[in-house]
Amino acid sequence: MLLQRIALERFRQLDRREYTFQPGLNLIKGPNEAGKSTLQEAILFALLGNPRLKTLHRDKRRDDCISWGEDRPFSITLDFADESGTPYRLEKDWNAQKVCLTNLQTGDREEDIDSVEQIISEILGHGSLELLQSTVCVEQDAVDEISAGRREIGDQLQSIVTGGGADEATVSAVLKDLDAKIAEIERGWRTHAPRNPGPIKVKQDEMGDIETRLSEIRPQVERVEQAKEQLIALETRIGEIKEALGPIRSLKELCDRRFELVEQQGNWKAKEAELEAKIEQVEEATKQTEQANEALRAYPGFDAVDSEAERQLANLHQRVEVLREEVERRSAELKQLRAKQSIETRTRPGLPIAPLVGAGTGFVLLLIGVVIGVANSSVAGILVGLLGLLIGIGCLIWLVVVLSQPRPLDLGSQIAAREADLAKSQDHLQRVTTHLAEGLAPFECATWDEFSQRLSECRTLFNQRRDAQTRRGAFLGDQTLEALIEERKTASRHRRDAEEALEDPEMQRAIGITPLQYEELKQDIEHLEEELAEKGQKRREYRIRREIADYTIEDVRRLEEQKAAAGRSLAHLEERLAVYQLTRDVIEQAKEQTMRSARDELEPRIGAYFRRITQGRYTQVEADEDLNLRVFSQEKGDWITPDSGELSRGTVDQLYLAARLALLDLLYRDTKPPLLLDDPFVKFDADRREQAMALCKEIAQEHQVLLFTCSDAYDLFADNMIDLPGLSAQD
Amino acid sequence: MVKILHTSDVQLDAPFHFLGVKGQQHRQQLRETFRRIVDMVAEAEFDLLVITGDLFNDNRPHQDTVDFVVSQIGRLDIPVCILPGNHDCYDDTSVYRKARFPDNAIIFTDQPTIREFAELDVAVYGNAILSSQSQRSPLRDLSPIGETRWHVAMAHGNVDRPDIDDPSRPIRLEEIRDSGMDYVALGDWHSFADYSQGEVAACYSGAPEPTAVDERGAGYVACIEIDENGVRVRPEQVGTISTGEMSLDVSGKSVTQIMEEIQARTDPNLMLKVTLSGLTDLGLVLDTEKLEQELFPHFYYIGCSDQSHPQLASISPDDFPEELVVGKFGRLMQARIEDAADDIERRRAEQALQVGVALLKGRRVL
Repeated sequence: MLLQRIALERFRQLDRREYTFQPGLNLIKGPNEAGKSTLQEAILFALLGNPRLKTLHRDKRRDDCISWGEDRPFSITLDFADESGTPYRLEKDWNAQKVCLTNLQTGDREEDIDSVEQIISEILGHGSLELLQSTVCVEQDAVDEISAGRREIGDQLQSIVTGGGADEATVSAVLKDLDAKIAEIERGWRTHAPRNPGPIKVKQDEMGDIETRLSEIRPQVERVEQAKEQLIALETRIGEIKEALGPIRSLKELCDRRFELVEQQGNWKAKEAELEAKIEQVEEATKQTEQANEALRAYPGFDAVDSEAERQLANLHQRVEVLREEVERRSAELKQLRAKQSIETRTRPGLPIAPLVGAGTGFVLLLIGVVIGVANSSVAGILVGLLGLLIGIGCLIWLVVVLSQPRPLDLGSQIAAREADLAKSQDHLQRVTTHLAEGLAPFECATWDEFSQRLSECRTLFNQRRDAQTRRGAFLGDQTLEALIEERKTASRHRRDAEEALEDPEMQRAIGITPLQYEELKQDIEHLEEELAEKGQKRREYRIRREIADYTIEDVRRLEEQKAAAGRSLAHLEERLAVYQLTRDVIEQAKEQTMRSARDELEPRIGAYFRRITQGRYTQVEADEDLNLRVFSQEKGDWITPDSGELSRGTVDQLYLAARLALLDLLYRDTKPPLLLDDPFVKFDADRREQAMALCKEIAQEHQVLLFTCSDAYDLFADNMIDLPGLSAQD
Repeated sequence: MVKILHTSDVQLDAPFHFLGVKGQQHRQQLRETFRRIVDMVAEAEFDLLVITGDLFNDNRPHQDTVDFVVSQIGRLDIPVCILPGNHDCYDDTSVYRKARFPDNAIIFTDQPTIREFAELDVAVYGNAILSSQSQRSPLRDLSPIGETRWHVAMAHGNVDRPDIDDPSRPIRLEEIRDSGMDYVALGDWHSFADYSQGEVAACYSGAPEPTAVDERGAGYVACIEIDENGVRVRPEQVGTISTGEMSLDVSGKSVTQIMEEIQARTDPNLMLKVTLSGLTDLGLVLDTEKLEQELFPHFYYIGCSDQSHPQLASISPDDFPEELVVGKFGRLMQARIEDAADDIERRRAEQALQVGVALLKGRRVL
């Protein structure tokens, strides 16, 4: 491609400017800020810029390229010829967002942007603005970095072969970045990195933590929920129990009531009978009392007989009796004395012979015995003596008794005394008897016996009356008969009430209940009440469990949502990792294939250019798979690398330029795009600059070269010179 | 005239896994909206509130939520008819068995299926859903047997529609038409929809707040007026949160442009589902999670689904010469994409292509 003319409207400082190019080496010269880089950009945008986009290239915005003071975007017109010499005019208007490519030979116009891009790509060899920039533009910085040893030629070449157009992007660096990224993502997941885990591990740990919390919380929440559900069942069951308990409790109460009523009825009946009996007995006692009182009317005065009176009368009676006995005894004694007197009168009594005889006999015998005993000292003597002693003593006693008898001479006095005593006693008897009769007279009793008899009868009646009264009192107690009767009425009424209650139709239900059934009823109630208590207790427990729960279903939901978010994030990370791994693998594969091919093709081309530039001093150049170059030094007889310091800086520059030209050949096999050199030799010394320019002249024979510079040092080499004046005050 | 407010599918206490840490906020939002419904009922002097199923998301709501509902219903002095739905079905563990609702709340259990409100001259009918797996028509055995002037049926189920294949709780259109009711209050669907048939007015009120990002038409209650002139149904918006869907062709666009276009719909109350489509420039790395994270502050929820594909046609010799690693890489990846065994593998290869191209072009996308 041969650039012929470029016209610019509103392109930064180059507004309404037009420049003409020639084949060979075009020198675009101007001071700093004159617009050299702007013109270079304009050429690139003219070739492959898209007027429809607001971003021109990488981060360069369209609006940043508009001339100061202008609102409208710029337009560029570029005249050029293809390899066959066919002239074209390419007009691009970023304001109208239009493109027009005119074949100046045929007049054909193409305005479809895609078609225009296609044609330009074919003419240039490639359609990428980035590629164009990275290949045809040799910038001052790049050369500077190589010659200063800040960057390897291999890196620079690899960066171009990588294809990104960014100087820093080499496939090796990309692979390194990817490896680092993959390692970062995987850290701690497939590798052990407890301190600084990667995002997958972090997310997995986060999910693990959430899962752990969920496994702690879920059972608790589940228990609470189960408690709620159990509460429903409990409430239902409690309701059923209460419902069941109602009628059977009622029936049992009815039975209990019936039993109570029956018992009450019995009790009241018994009470009634008891009161009836008591009343009868009270009445009987009353009757007996009245009868006794009636009977006692026949014993007037007896009610006044007290024990003193009775004792006095009894004493009188006893004295009468004693006196009577005394009179009788004295009468009898008198009678005996009179009888005795009469007998003694007829027979006077003599001395008592018999006792005297007997006593004499005894003494004899005693003497005999003493004699015998003394004489013979025999037992018979003793016995005879004793016998005589006994007889003598006995007869003496007899004699004393006889002699102690009265003497008939006293009987008369005795009778007289006795008669006096008798008269006295009779008189006393008469007085006492009279006194007794006087004492008995109020009782209408003639004798003590009669009195005693009547008193006894009276006392019997008194006792009967007292017994009757005692019984009555015992029956009545503190009550009166009327109260008893009232009490009996009350008992009777209660009995009737109980009987009536038992007759109630409702009570009839209980009548059919047998004792066995009643026991079963009680057991049923007991069981149900136990169950009710148990369920009630459980209900309280469940309510407490529900109320005091540490966690709620909301906690579970929140954690599950967090887990879902973390899960999505984790899945995303894993997918990104898979993408990066795939990217890495395929880039590695692409690198292997590309670099091997590039190296195979670049090696001879670089060698040829380098040999030509160095005029045969260096004939062999080798490249490894990362496009790191080394040259063979015939002087040294060995291979030298550019960074070894064994090549001069000029030679390194030349090697770099040779490599860039070889790359142009590699990438633009059938086309010859113009080479844009942005003052690449500005820091070269005069010798190196001369060599470089010699190279440029060489290159310019095949590629049109546009050398942008602020130096006058290249003037001699130029086939065409374009001066870019510096900014005026007006600019 | 009888004024009825009809709502359903509030789904209180639902989990929102898609919302992640914002799930709790949305549960709170559902409560607030229910409170607003009760406010509306009180302020606009409705005569009856009917809730046709799924008031709760399940039978295990938080006790606070139950207490909240009880207190809200207790604020009203009108009857509130509640029909258990498939989420809060009236089974043995039903929330309606666990809680003690105010006297004005009429829970339609297995018995009875009719409740007459003589003062309103309205009878309300309904078959509670007894099992979440119920296959029976919720309108079965319901006929206007009440002696009132107006008859309203509540039914929680799926109206027979050719595009919906859900056999559970089926409601045939003829059932609605032949029901003899004045109004059939439908529940189960989360979008407002009118299914009036013949003389019978029938509507889904929809959920008062969306519970998923793809619920269009959620956020409403149905305001019903019944008088001699017929039944009038009017949807009234009560929801705060809206849902939206955005299909964005990302062809030729940068990530910044894509972000800008999505941000143009910024709404803190919008649940936005974004589907990225088109053919992207090579090297455009679309990390949907990163997009979601960066856009998160601008929306109530944003979910991005990347359905775009790399512009494989651009792997041309002009732009991707084989002599360059990027060119070789592009071709290798292209082959992998074309030979992918399944969508996952294809998707992964496409993303690897984008990441690789971006990296090889010197972009920092890792």
